Amino acid sequence: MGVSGDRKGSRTEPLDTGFERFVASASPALLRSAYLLTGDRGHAEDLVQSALLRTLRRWRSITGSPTSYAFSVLVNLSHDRGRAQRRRPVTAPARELPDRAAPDQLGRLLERAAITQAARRLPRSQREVLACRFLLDLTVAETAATLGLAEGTVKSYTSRALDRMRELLADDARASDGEPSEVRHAD
Amino acid sequence: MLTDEELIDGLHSELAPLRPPADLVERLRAQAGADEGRRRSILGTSRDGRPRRVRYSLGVLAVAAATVLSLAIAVGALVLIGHRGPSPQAARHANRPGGPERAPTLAQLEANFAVLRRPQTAADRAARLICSRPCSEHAIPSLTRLARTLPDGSRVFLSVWRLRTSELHQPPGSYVLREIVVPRHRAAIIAAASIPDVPFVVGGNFYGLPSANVSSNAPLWTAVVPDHVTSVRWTFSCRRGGVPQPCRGRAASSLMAAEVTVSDNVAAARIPGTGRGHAGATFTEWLDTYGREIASFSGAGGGTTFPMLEKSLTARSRLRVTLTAAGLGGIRFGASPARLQQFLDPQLGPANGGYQTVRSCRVDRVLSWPILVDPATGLARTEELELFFGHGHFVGYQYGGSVLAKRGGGRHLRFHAVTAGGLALGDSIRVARGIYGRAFQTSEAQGGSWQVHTAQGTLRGYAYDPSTYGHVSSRSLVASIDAGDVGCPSVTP
Repeated sequence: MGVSGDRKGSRTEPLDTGFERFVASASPALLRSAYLLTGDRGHAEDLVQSALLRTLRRWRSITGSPTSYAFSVLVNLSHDRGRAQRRRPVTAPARELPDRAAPDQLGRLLERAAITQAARRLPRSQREVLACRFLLDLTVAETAATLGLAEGTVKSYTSRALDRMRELLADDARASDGEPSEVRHAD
Repeated sequence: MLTDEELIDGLHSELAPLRPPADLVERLRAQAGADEGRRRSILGTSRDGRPRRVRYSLGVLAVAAATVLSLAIAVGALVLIGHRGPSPQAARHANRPGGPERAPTLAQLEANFAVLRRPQTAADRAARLICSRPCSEHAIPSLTRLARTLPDGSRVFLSVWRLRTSELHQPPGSYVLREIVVPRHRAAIIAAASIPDVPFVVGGNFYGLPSANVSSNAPLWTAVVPDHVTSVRWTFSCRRGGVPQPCRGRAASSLMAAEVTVSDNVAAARIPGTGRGHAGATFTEWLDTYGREIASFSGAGGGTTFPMLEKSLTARSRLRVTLTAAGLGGIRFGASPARLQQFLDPQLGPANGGYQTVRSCRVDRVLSWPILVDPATGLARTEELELFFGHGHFVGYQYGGSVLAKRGGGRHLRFHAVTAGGLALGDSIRVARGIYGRAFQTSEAQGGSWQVHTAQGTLRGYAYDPSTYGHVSSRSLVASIDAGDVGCPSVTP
């Protein structure tokens, strides 16, 4: 039993078998998408868990793709998280706070992953489109419906995101070779 | 140069080691079970979904009937004795400038002490019973508050007095905030002289040091502090005016300090080994939520001016905006951005970055102003007012404290926004409940949040307690005030 299951007052109840199958198949891709949006493994896990729980509450009334539904909840949760973080003061001077939790071995691996880091530096909207199209394998139409965008916008975001990642990777390669590089922060 | 396919494959392979926790399904099961249990307890249904049948005993029914009867008698009595709430005289005084230059006006006192802004309760009104001449001649009844009941049963009242003659080093017509400590066993007091009235006065001659009621071995030290001071640190020593004095107790050999939490604008603690013949309070520090010093006072020199009142209230007096569930000030949702800019630009200057495009559900444009609020104490808070628009119409706003105590992070503006009920940023949940009663609800969602349903709609925001992130208690602070559409809400789709 997990940590939450041991809590006083909580009760373990059977989940819908269809939902369990959905969790097993979709959660890895959702987690990777959440990581792309937050850049923090712990937060990504929290977001996925919350998004799946909310999906479970509406499980029987979801008409379209449950993956799209869960992802749009996840995107909204990540927006809310960003907003909530901005609205609360920090409790210690910034220099005393680490940017994020100390990375574990996997965290370090992800920190070194060049393509992932390039994707993390894209604007949020482009990251959302990348996650939908390439991590969740949604079609252009499904991505447009999930994110509330026009199909043309999805295509242009995808194209711009890939071009920008190429530029960033090239900049990084030049920097590691000791050449001066153009410093541009897209996000 | 990598092709599209290589980039996508690379992203897949780099993120491949990232896998959900093995017990994800178990966690979801447990959380779903807990949610279901909560839902049943709220709806009053049994596990099979049928409404639970509630049986009341005769005793419970009798108590309920007696309560209803006593309430009816109390309401009748209030009507008969002509309870009229704040007197017109008091209301007139609120708008008049204070008499002497340094004495705070009534409006200033209300703006700096949240305890005065909350509605009066029956417990507050009980002070009338214990307050006879001369207190009854000076005290404004509608501005008496029971600030604290201490563990030993002593009650700390705060009372606003309007002086008719020159007293307490103040000229006639001055308003002073007085603290009155009433011991547990005193139910009624015949004369003000017989109560251990702690002579703590917020006025022109304010003393930052706490005062002691030394009737027992562990004297009760109390002090009145304004909003945004969340704790005080008192230092006790055997010195009087900088000169060492013989005294007993621990402080006789070394300095002794106590940090005391503030609640409802009052710091109070029993501190053994202090008081008469022992160590006295010689230094006070006011601390904010983050433990930073806001102001400090030493015993030397006696009275000083009350530090927060003058500058912060001058700053607040320029633009006061009422935040409602239907709009901002007199401007309701649906208004054009030009109308809001016309209203706010003269005071706040042009919006940060202009009329910016965003994409967040029904919100497509945003106007925002960073506001540096410096209450003249060395503590700078950056707040932000964001207005949201959808298809060219005002659809929502968010007013929130944010970021670090960083000087130069925003414009220093004279701006003060409160809800129609009087709730301001930084007020505690306790104050909010005092204003809105049971309609004010909190939730642990999103690291702590609150909402209140008003006649015009719903006001909501984040709650914040730096010591217990995510847990909302009566000490948590209001971190933001929102209404309308503020972008993608997490509860959708």
